Amino acid sequence: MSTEAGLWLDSSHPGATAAVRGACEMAHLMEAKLSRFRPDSELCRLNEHSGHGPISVSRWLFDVVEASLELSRFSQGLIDPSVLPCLVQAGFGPGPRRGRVSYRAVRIDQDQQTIELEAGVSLDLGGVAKGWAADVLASHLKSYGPALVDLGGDIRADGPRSWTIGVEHPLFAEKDLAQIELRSEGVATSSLLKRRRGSHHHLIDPRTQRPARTDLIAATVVAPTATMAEGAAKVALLLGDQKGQVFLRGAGLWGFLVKSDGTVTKVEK
Amino acid sequence: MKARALSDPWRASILVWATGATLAGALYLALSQQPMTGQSLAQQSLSTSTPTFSGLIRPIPPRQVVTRTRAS
Repeated sequence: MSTEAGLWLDSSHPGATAAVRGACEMAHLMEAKLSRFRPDSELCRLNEHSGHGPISVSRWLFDVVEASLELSRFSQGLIDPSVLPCLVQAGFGPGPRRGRVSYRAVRIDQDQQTIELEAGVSLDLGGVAKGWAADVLASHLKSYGPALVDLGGDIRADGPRSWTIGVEHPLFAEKDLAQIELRSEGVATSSLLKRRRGSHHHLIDPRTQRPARTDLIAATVVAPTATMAEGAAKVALLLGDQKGQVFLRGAGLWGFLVKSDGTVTKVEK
Repeated sequence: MKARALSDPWRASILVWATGATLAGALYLALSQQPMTGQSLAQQSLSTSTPTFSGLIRPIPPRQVVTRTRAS
């Protein structure tokens, strides 16, 4: 989850400063538990346990895996945390180069707070972790006042005030393609132009298990939570311009789709 | 600029910078009901500093873009 983070809290509460500091420490702890780039992370331990039955996990790891599986079902498999071997084959970081890709091979037990990965299955939470973390941190801060949390561009506002957010143009980073007012909801952007390795980008299409081919270069989605916004932005990007618009309208979400020629479509609710 | 911002309870904020190997960015603590002067705000921001934080005062005018959604 290596990223830039910003936290804003509008509060006169005497504990507000400590709350912001605490939220920053929570973000560090989340990164330590959920990163696949840290061999000592809880996620890496879970992946090493693949094929060896259920394993007890922390509340955070359980919750983010549960959220990821909910997005998998919601997207009919277009979001799939088990694409890790495909990411590694495409040159994106450490992990197994071979394995089974199927979110259905991940089982969670709410009562026991355990996760079981079938043999050959390993997880990458990069498709959901930042949005999920932004939701958790904003929820933590909002008891002190309206809060805004930005984790690498995945943003969650919580509490009774609106915040003005720019939508970075994917082709011209110095300018915004729009400005939006965010109030008790999330926004996230997914793009094919960031995190590239040679000709490959990092967005894996679980249907082909290869880097996605789409007529879009970026999608920005506003949703009730940052978790949902992050997942929906990836789904829209994978589906492409026309199907992406249908998907967003059908889900009651809105945002902006940018085609490779720079054409921007605002998708209304 | 600072005095005008501080006269509006919405616009005063403390900006705290956090640094770390994998998490770096800005922490803003906005004070909506501040009966303080700019100096006391500055002192408060310094007193809340830790070895990983340093502070300064920064206003957030209404409708100013606070941050940007972007791919990362």
